[in-house]
Amino acid sequence: MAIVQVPPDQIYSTTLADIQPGRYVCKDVHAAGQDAVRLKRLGVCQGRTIELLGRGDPMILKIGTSRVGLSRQLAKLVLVDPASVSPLNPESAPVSVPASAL
Amino acid sequence: MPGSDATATKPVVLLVGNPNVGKTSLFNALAGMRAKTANYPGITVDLRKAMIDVAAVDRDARCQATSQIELVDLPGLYSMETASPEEEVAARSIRGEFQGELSRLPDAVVVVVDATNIARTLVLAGEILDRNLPTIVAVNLIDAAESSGTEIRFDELSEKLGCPVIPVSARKARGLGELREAIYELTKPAKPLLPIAREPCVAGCGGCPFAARFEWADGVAGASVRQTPGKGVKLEWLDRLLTSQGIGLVTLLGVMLSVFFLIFSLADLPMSAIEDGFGWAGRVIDNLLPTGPLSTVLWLPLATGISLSVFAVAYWLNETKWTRWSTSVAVLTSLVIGSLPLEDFRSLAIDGVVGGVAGVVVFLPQICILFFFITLLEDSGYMARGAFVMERLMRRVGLPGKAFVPMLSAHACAIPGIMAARTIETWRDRLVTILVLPLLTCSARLPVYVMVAALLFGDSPWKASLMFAGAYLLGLLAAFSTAFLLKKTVVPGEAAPLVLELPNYRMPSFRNAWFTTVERATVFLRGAGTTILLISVVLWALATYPKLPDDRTFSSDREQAQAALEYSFAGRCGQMVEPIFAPLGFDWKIDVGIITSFAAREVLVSTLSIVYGLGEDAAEEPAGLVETLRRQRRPDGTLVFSTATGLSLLVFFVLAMQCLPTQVVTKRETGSWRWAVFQFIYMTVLAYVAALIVYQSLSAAGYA
Ligand SMILES: Nc1nc2c(ncn2[C@@H]2O[C@H](COP(=O)(O)OP(=O)(O)OP(=O)(O)O)[C@@H](O)[C@H]2O)c(=O)[nH]1
Ligand SMILES: [Mg+2]
Repeated sequence: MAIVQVPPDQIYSTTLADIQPGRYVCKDVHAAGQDAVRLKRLGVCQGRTIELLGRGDPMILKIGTSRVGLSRQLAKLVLVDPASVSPLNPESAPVSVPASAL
Repeated sequence: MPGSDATATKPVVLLVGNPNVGKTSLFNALAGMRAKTANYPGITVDLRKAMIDVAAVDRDARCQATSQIELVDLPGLYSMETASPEEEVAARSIRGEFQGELSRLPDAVVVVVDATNIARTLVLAGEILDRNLPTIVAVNLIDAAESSGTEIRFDELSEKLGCPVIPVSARKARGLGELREAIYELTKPAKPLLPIAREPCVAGCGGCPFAARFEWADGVAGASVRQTPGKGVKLEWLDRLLTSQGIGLVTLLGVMLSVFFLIFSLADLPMSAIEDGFGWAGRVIDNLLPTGPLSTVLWLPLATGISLSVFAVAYWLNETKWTRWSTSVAVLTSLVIGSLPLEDFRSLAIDGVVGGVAGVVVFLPQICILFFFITLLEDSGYMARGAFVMERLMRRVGLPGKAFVPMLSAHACAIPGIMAARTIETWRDRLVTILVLPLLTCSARLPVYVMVAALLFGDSPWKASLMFAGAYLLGLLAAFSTAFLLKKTVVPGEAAPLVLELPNYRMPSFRNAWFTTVERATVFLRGAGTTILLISVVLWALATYPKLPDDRTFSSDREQAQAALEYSFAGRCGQMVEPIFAPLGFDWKIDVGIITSFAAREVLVSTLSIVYGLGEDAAEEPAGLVETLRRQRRPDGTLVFSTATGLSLLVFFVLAMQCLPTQVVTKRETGSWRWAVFQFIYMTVLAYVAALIVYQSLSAAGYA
């Protein structure tokens, strides 16, 4: 199982796997290959607002008007910030992990 | 100018859209043909095509221009970046990468979007529009959107998208005329060859292309959709219950048990009606066939003709082409059949053909009922929740949650189960599911279970039901552990982690369920029915030839039948393999049953009743058969059907692969005989070893 280690400079962002229900903004998706495609085309991709409806494995997300079930294993690869953080000022947000960190 | 394009190939129009937006429903509404429709992402796999008339809607009907187009229903697609074999099919059709008429770019694309979920379903439309194909956006499910208070400004939407936007409702047949007209306008013969100059939907610079598309779709939808607040059903509380750990699982078990209860309680009547019907047909044929001596000159062409017409019907059902090869097979076989003695012909027609076909058709009611309820459940959106709940359990053995629908179906018959496995996206997960499905107890095993239960526990109903539950559990357990092992060895890798859209709950449509049921039943009859016909004729031949020498006389017909079977190929094979099955506690007569049931397991009961000298009819009244079986003794005086032998036989039938039609379907769905052979070998070995352990340990414990 590909567990992504979150480097210390990423401390502001948490993954979807360890947050409370609420609204979040997706910062980055660290999945690769097919998993990345499967996540992104259902709307789990950078800059989208994601609402966590129910925790658990799998968990339930609300993305736009559709609901999506997502396994914890993939949720660990999705970095999110609370929705209140202004997405208009990307400079103040931590730099995202380069792909090589995977 | 009608008719001018009659000779040219017809324009090809593709129906494209996310899973579950109603493409197939729309296709059916336009084409009047019934394809599989269901509320479960990614159901359609076969491409369905139909010629339809499209026309300009004109005030004057006399000079109304019409033309024909070929409409193709594609599998659901989330994005041109694909993640499953079916999506790949859809994406490649759009890119024109197939043979035949799909080898060039489509003449037009109808992108179907869901009016209740515009923003998400428009994402794909953006991708298609960027390919600069002639595009129409059909906004389906407007009936559902209206009743939930969603207002859509279609001209606004059309302006933003730069293409025609047609509101439709496939279920209520609304907007179909306008859609036909739009297709006509886009594909009409004298189309001006203007290059399509559209603004790209997404500026092509940096960032996640998906994110940009979603943003674009959100923008478009935001500008043209208004949601009346407070209106529409909010079913989030229901979703929370149905997907929760405890209640969700209990509900799922409840739903599954009720489906089974319905299958078995509702199917009883039609099943006995079918049995009676075939029995009656057999008698009619018996009476129709002449009894006395008949001149060969007359009989040969007649019998050959009858046989040829059976072939014709089978080929037609199975869609076999009359090639040189298949024609010579039919003609030669018919000639052989024509030259059979009259009595043999009678037995072939009644026992081989009518009996064999009856053996399959009798399962049809169960399969129809299964499909009917599964389609209703899929339509309502519940099945996605079921997959969600099962994900937690199935993952442990390396299967995805989506494997639960195939597993549910396989409890009626493995064939629809294997076909339902197409909803599983990842190839390896799908393969493992297909490989283990035939271990689940299908209804063809039930006659065998019933026989063993009556044999061993006839006096104690609760022991019998315990045995039944045990057999079901054994099948489930075997399927799960095999899946686990396969995922560790032959097809390594964990199940692809779940990302599943939970579709909105919808009112299921009985019409839709009915048409799906009819279609599935036809597929089943075509595939399984014709294969079974072939098998039953071959089996009949094996059990009939060589014939007993004429000089032997018997005191009764039964004894003669018994001796004839013993003398036949099947009987000889049974005696030959006796040493192999002896450690399982089977004598050669049971072995004959095992051999004849390799193609179709339910044959065991009728074979046993012949080998033990009861004749065909006894199989219909189990009491007689069971009494006779109970009395059988081995040469050394011990009982043949001891507890050990009975349970060993049961275990063997729970686990063994004894169904040729299933193997054919496995081959078709996996694309090679390799997996069908693998399935056959592993299941047979498993069955043998398990039955061996059961017999040996029980007889060591004194139950022999
Ligand atoms: N209320 C309503 N329901 C509809 C309409 N069109 C389709 N449906 C329902 O939507 C569900 C999905 O329809 P399908 O036609 O199978 O959808 P599809 O796009 O072919 O789905 P896939 O083949 O899985 O990609 C079914 O339950 C239909 O009954 C409509 O106009 N109104
Ligand atoms: Mg479809």
